[in-house]
Amino acid sequence: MEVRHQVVVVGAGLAGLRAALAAGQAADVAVVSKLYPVRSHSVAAQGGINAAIDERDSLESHAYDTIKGSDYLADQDAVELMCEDAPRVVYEMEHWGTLFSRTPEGRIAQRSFGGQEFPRACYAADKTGRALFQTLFERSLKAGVRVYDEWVVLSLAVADGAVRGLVALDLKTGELHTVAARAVVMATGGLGLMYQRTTNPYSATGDGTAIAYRAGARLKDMEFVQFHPTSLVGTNVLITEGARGEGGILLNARGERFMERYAPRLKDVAPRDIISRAIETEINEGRGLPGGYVHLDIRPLGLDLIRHRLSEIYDFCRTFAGIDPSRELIPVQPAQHYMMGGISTDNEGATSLPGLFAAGEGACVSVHGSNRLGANSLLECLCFGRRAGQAAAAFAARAGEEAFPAAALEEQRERLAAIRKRRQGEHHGVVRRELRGVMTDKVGTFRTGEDLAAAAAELARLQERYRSVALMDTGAVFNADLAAYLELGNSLDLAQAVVACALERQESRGAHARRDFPQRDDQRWLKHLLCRYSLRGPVLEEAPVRITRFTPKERTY
Amino acid sequence: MDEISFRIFRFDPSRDAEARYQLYRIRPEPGLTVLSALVNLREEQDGSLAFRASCRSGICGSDAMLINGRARLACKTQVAEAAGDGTVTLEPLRGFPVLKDLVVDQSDFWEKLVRVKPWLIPGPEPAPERERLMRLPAQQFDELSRASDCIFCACCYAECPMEGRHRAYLGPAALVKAYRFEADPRDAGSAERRGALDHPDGVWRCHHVFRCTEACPKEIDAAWAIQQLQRRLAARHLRLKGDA
Ligand SMILES: Cc1cc2nc3c(=O)[nH]c(=O)nc-3n(C[C@H](O)[C@H](O)[C@H](O)COP(=O)(O)OP(=O)(O)OC[C@H]3O[C@@H](n4cnc5c(N)ncnc54)[C@H](O)[C@@H]3O)c2cc1C
Ligand code: FES
Repeated sequence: MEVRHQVVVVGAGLAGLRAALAAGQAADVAVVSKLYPVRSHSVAAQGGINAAIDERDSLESHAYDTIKGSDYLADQDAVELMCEDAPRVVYEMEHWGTLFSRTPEGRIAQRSFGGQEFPRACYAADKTGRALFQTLFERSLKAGVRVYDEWVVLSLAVADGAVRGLVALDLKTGELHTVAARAVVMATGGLGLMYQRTTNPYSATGDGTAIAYRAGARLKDMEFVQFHPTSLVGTNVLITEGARGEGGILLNARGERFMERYAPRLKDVAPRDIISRAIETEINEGRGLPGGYVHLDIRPLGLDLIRHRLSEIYDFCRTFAGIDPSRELIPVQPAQHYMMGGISTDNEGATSLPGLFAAGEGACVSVHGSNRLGANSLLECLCFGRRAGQAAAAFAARAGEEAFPAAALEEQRERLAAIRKRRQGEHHGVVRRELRGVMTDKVGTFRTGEDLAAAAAELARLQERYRSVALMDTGAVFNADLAAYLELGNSLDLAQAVVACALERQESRGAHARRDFPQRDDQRWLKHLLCRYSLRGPVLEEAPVRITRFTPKERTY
Repeated sequence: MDEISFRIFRFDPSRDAEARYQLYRIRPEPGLTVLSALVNLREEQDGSLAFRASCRSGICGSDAMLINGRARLACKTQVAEAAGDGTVTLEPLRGFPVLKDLVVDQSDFWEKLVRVKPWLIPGPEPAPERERLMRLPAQQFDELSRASDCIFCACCYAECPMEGRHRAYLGPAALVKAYRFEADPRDAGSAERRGALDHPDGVWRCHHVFRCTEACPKEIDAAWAIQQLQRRLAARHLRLKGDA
């Protein structure tokens, strides 16, 4: 099938749908998504969305907390823009129907979140992502947004240095389709599946980010991977920071509230990078529980609050750990959670590749710098998703109608034919498991040059093996084996980018903690690393950090 | 735990003339969910096994299937609990065309959802600059919040006896969605939704068997929500009769 739209959005999560709704105001737009929209991971977001809507709060304070949280690596003009837009975003979603939790006065309720001086996370119990996403989904149904669902995008079509559309695999039939477009918005979310321990879903393989990277777009801030302090031991599903925002505390094996030692002021609601490292330190120094975890205590909050404001958490604990958190301690450990880095964009979502725009977790404007604050990601998706959609529509209005380069389709056809023909070789599942192991062991919360170099060498070997892996299933209909094989290629390319940047950055900043370079070094490293794809591996470049009015200083909590 | 059997419905329309069941043996670790077992099976034993999954935490609604005959989410079902006599039987959701193995075509489900106009239809008064105030008694807010918990997994459709007999029936999830807006004080769309709801294949098809409520993995009382819609419509009919 060949279809044509002025703008095509890849991804139907919060960022993608918001981009599509915005672009649809001025252009003919369609969405391509490998999942049915409501299966997107945005629905899993729990805790909240930040906006300074209380009279006692201020945009400046939101911006300052975000920039300080980023360890001064965020681009300050972008942060200010996002924080200014935040109240509009939240009110718009409320007007469209989002069911936020309310204060007794009937206003939108807000709670404390890590690294913030004011309780500014607007929430809908502990299902904020679902509440926001459903509203957007409903709007997209109302607006009749065209969605090609269960199409896995494989590549961008590029000609004369500009994007002309994309090639996708239809899971239901196994056919390849082309979507010609004047502008493409990538919004394919996170990449956590490259880690063994992650809060991310099976679908988080960074597809769009890898596809854009291979097509020539620059990636940014790839060394900064966020580890959430509190994932449930076992399945690593997330226990929201909101649990601590409501008053939950962390305890080590001796029952000590250890965060008092690491962040005397904010304690259990310090930023994520700090708490994750504190937990790992407790465990490494023998104060963790056997098997490597600590406890989260939310018992004092009482059953009533837990069942109403932390209802999902209550359910998770019972379903996945068989415990009642109103009476028992929750076993938690850090796990990969979020990717700060992604396709490098400007404040309008434009990338280094003409016609390609990006938004959401797979993009990097750099509003999070080296460490994202909780509840800023949903905000980023809605704020920059809209801007990217608008900019893509404006770009499409200026661009002409160009032919779709046939070679783009041919290339994917050959690639699929080759892998389907291969009868012998190890299964790609083995390579995936090793990749996830390497990333968890060597590219985690604490890093060293030695580990990273070993990881780089290991990844090069895994790439080599990937070239000769085989499938178990060569069928056409719903071939999940083939999809997983394609996704693994994306994970591998991005893992190499993460490791190359992490090895390069010889300092500790935010989520990137090098034991061999424990200090932050503004002199040398107050800058972004950009990453360009080459067949020989990632090529690194540098870009300045944009500073407006917040001078970098030491980060204490 | 000892080895147990997974008995899985297999059907690939492009290769198979008819469906069959295939047996797999697995050795479950404590805490293993049916979904994790399926993922392991696919990665280690049989890459051709088709099922949907994403969040693995009961939030995205991808992996509804019949587990020992009952519609459930694979990610929220423990193998140890399902294994009972040593065998877990997995089949695609009842009432939907099978695309392959455990994957069904949900198009019909989505079309029904759209028919209830599942979006906020505000009244004529302009929206305030800030949020609309919303002061609902705690219990009412709770009911509304519960009704908005639907993850579109379609377990309720697979269990509903009316869905089985009347293909055109809107069904529990679509009606719960309608209730979620009808009960929202910010919504004024009753008149626009009435055509779909006040119809033999709308709310009146429900005969309160409560199978939807039992099946819902998010513990939404779907049957109760449908009853609320019936009451509202019945009250309106009585009012209209009274006026006439
Ligand atoms: C458990 C959890 C809780 C969180 N809680 C919070 C919170 O409380 N507050 C907050 O601000 N942030 C939170 N986050 C982060 C936030 O939810 C995510 O960063 C955000 O939702 C990402 O949205 P997105 O639109 O970029 O991507 P997603 O919602 O992940 O959507 C990605 C989309 O891309 C599509 N896609 C992917 N690959 C392809 C391909 N190859 N072809 C076609 N389509 C493709 C998918 O189908 C999907 O529709 C949380 C994250 C997790 C994991
Ligand atoms: S995988 Fe998302 S609900 Fe089970």
